[in-house]
Amino acid sequence: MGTRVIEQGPVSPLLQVADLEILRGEAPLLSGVNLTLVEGEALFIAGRNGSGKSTLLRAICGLERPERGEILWQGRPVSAGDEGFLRELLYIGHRNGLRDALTAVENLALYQGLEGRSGESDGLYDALDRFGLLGLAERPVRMLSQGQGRRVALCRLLLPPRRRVWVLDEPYTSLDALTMTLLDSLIAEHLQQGGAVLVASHHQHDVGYPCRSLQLEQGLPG
Amino acid sequence: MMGALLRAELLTHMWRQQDVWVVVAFFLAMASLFPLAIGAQAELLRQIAPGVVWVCALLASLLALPRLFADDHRAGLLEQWLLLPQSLSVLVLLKVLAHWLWAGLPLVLLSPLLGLQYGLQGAELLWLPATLLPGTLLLALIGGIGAALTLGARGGGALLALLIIPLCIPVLILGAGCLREVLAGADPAAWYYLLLALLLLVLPLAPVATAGALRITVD
Repeated sequence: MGTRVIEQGPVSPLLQVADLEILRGEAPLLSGVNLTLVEGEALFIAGRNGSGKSTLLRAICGLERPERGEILWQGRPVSAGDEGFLRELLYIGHRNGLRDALTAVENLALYQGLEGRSGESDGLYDALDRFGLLGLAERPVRMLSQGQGRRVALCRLLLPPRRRVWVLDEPYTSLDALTMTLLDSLIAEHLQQGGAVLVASHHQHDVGYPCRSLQLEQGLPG
Repeated sequence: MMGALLRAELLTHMWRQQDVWVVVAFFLAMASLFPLAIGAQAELLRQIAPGVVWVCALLASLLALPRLFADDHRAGLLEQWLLLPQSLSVLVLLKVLAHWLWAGLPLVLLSPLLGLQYGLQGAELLWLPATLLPGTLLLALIGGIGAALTLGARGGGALLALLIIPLCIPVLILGAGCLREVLAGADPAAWYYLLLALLLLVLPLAPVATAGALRITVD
């Protein structure tokens, strides 16, 4: 059940996970997970279905309560709702987090509004344009395809405020080759600017950026 | 933040107008059944009006509650709310107020219409919306806690009703009591002030409880 321990990075780490254990019912889904993420680094979390990739990412974001272990942000333990950490974190889950009834641009405007940045709509259209969605900006999300919805969600990567840590759960799902390349280049750019990225994915491809990988072994038995 | 959220809520419900109509139609239909069933007994109708209208408003409010967080939860939007640096309680308060705008306010505005069926006259008709205004707000605020707690639970709607109805009893007693005083020609001020006091008490507390419940159920 254990997982491979990733060796410590050379510079002071942005994010650390220490001896994390998460239960599903009575049985541990993840146990003894340690990882370290430094600036300019991407960590690819691989593993089969049910190996706990999503759960690990959610736990790091504070959406899942760990049984044991700690999440450290710049060496300081964080708990759910830690404001300083949340300001540096962008999480895109396996669900897109978009309202069906609203259009692509209205959804992004809602995110901007909740961040306290209303009325900066130019950036929204620029982001949609990068992902090739300009023509669909005014269309309700329920009328978009799976992949198009995914692209709308990924537009958040381009919107201010800039976050240092991106936590992406299966970001490549339903994406076409062109968008996968775009996402890879966005991640590469983010890393160059001193950001860090955690990616969970079960399809390995030749990502266009340097990254380490953490293999989660089979989670729950059976 | 406030403007953006209210705008988004409004736009969302423009697409889901049937939700609004269902709640309003339920309220009007339920409260109209009693005069039809009881017949033309004017004095009896006047006596039961406060209780009937308030119970119907409570049930109609319950009808709308399961939708409060469910759609955003399913879409993965609620977990994003938990990751915002802003206070979750404030977001919840805004969300509940926006919910009340479509699920509560129409009941308030239409209530004088029901009063006519029960033989209420003049100022009595205005006391219906006057009590229902703080009343439906209270029901929405308290209901939010239940909606958050039953999020994702099987049979959530029925569970929500069972959970929330006992908590709504004080609101019902004060609201209907105030109306009874009005119809008896007495001074309803004491009842009304108590209702407003309850609102002032619940307004800051309920969103905190709802936010806490959401942190537990969004898993």
